[in-house]
Amino acid sequence: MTGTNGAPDGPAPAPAGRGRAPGPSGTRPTPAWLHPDLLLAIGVLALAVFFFVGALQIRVSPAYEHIGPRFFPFLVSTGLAACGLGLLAGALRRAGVADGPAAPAAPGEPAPLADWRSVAITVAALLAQILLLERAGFIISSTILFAGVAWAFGSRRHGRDVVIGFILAFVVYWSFTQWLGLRLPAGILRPVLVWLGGS
Amino acid sequence: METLSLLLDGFAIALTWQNLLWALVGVTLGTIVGILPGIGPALTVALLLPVTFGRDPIGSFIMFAGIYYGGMYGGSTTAILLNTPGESASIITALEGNIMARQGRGGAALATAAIGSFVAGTLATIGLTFVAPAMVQLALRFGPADYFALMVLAFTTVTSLLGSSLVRGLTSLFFGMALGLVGIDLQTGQARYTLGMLEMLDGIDVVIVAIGLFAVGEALYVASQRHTGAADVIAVKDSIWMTKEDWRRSWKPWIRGGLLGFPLGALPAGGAEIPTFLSYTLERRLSRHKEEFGKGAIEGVAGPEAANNAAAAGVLVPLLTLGLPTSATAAIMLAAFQQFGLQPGPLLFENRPDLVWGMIASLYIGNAMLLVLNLPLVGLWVRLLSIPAPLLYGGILVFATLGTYSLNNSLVDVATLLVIGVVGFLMRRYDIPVAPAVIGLILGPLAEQQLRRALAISQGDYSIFVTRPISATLLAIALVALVGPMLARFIGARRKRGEAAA
Repeated sequence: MTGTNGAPDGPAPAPAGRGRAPGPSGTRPTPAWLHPDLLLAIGVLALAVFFFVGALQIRVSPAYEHIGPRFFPFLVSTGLAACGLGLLAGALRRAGVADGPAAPAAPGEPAPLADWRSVAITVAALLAQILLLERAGFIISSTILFAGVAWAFGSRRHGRDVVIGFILAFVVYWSFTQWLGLRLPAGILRPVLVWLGGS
Repeated sequence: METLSLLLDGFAIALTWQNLLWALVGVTLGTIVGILPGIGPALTVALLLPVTFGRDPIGSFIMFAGIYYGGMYGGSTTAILLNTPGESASIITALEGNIMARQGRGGAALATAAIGSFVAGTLATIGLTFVAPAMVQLALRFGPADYFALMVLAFTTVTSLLGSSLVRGLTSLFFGMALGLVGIDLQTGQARYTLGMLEMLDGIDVVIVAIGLFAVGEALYVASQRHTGAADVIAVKDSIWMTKEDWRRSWKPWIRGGLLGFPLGALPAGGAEIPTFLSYTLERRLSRHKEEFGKGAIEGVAGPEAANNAAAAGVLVPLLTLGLPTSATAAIMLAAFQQFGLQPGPLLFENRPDLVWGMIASLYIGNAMLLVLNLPLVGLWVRLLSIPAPLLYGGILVFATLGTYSLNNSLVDVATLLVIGVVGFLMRRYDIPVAPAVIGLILGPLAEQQLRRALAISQGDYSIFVTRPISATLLAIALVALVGPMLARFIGARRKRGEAAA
C-alpha cells in the first residue's frame, strides 16, 4: 500500500481541510537538497529572524511595566523559529528517505503541475488594477482585470470577456456609488458618468 | 424563563420587514457563495464589510449570520453535484452524495442534505439559545489570565485539528500572529514593524488578509493548477421529494448529526470539519446498510450534512459569549464586531441584547428560509455551477480589489492585498493551511493584551496562569490537545515499525 496503485474510482476519505486533488505523487525521486520543505523552512526561519531583529528595534518606554512591547514579539518570533526548525528537521528526515515508501504520503509535496504563465498573467492583471484604478477609474481598470484573469484561466474569447467585464464593472460602480454610498474613482469616464446622472 | 422572553424580544426585532429582508439577502448570498467554488462565507462577509460600514449593526449581523448559515447549505449542493466541495466542511458529503448523484439519486441526496441541515440547524440554534446565557454567566468570572489561557487553548486546538500536520498549522498561526504585531502597540503607543510607513501604523487589516488569502491566493493557486482535470456537473434526474424509505433512513442520522455537531462546534475546537468526519464514521458503524457506504448510502449524506450545520451554530457560542473565533468565518465576524465598535462577550449580552437576540432569532428564520430556497429552487442554483471558471475568477478578483479598496480608499491596501495573495498562493502550494493565520492575526493582539493585563495584576508573577483554577484547567486541556495527537502518532508509528519488523 504505497499509494502508487491509488484508490479505486471513489474518492479517498481525505483528511478534512485539505482540498488538494490526488495527483500522481510519489513517482519523482526528490534529491535530498531540493526537498520543497527545505525552501519553506528557510523562508520561515528568515521570517523569524526578521521579526526577532525587528523586536530588538522596538523602543521600550522607561515607564514601569512588567512586560513591555517587546515581549510578545520575542515570543512570536521564537515560535516561528521553532516551526522553521521543525519543518527543516522534517524535510531533512524525509529527504533522506525520499526514495522509500514513506515519501509519497508525506505532506508538503507541492502539487506536481504548475502553470506559471497563468499565475503571471493573473498577477499582472492585479498590478494593472493597482496602477489604473485611480488614474483610469474603477470601470476601466476592473474591465482590464476581469478580461486579464479570464485570459489567465484559459478563455480565448477576449471580446466577450471585455464586454462582460465592462458590464459587471459598470453595474457594480453604479450600484455602489449611487445606492450603497461608497466612493469609487470615476477616472477618465467621469464626463460620461456625470452625463448619465451619476457622480 | 428569562431566556425565552429575551428570545421573544429578539423575534420582535428579527421579524420587522427590514430585518427579514436582510436575512433573505444574507441567506440568498450565502447559498450562492456556498455553491460557487472559489468563494465562501468568510470571504463574502469580508467583502461586504465596507458596504455595511456606518449602517445599522443589527441588520448587518442578521445578514452576516444568514451568509454563514447559507454557505453551509450551498456547500452541500456543490459537493453532491460536482464532487468538488465548495466548503471544506462538505468534503464528507461529497463522498456519498456525489456517488448518489451519479446513480441518478441526486435529488434525494440534495433533499436529505437540505432537510437534515434544517433539522440539525434548528436543534443547534435551540442549543445556542440556551447554552449562550449559561456561558455568559461563566464568562463573567473570567479574568485576564483565564482569557489568555482560553486563547492558548483555541490556538492549539485550531492548529492541531486543521491542516495536515501540527508544525504546518503552527507555522500558519505564528505567521498570522506576527502580522498582528504590525502597528502601534496599544498599551505603550510604540510603533512596531511599520518599516517607517505611515500606512502601517494602524496595523494590517484582518479583512485584507482574509481577502488576500481566500480570494487572491486561491485564484492564483487554481490558475497554477488549471490543467488538472475539471469535474462535470451531474444533472438531477430524480424527484427532490424523498421516498418513505429515504425518510426512514435519514431522520436518525439528522438528529445524531445535530447532537454531535453542536457541542463539538461550541468547544473551541476548530470549525465544522471534525464533526462531519465523526458523524460519517458513526453512521457507517450504526447503519444496517454498511455495504452501501462508499456506494451512495443516504445516511452518509444525512448525518455529516446535519453535523456540519449544527457545528456552524455551535461556533457562534464561543464567538458571541467569549469573543473567541474558532473558524475563519467567525474570525471575520469578530472583525465585523470590531468595525462597529462592539466586543463580543458577556458585556455584549448586557449592553446590546437587541443585537444578540435579534441575531439569534434571525437564525431560526434564516434556517426556514434556507429550506425553502434550497429545495424547490435547487434547479436555479445548480445553474450557477455552469459559470465558466475564467468568468467566475475574473468576477471574484474584481470584487476582491473593490472590497479592499473601499475599506479606506487606499491603493496601498490593494497592493498589500496582492502581496498577501502571493503569500497565500505559496502557502497553498507548500501545504500550509491558511485559516490558522487568519485566526492568529485577529486573536494574537487580543492574547497579548490579556497576557500583559494578567501579568500587571499579578505584579509580573507568571504563576498566575497555573494558580487560578479556570486558567490552569484550560492550559492543561491545551497541553493535552497539543501533545495528544503527537503521542498518538508516535505510538502508531512505533506499532507500525513493530509490525514491519515482525
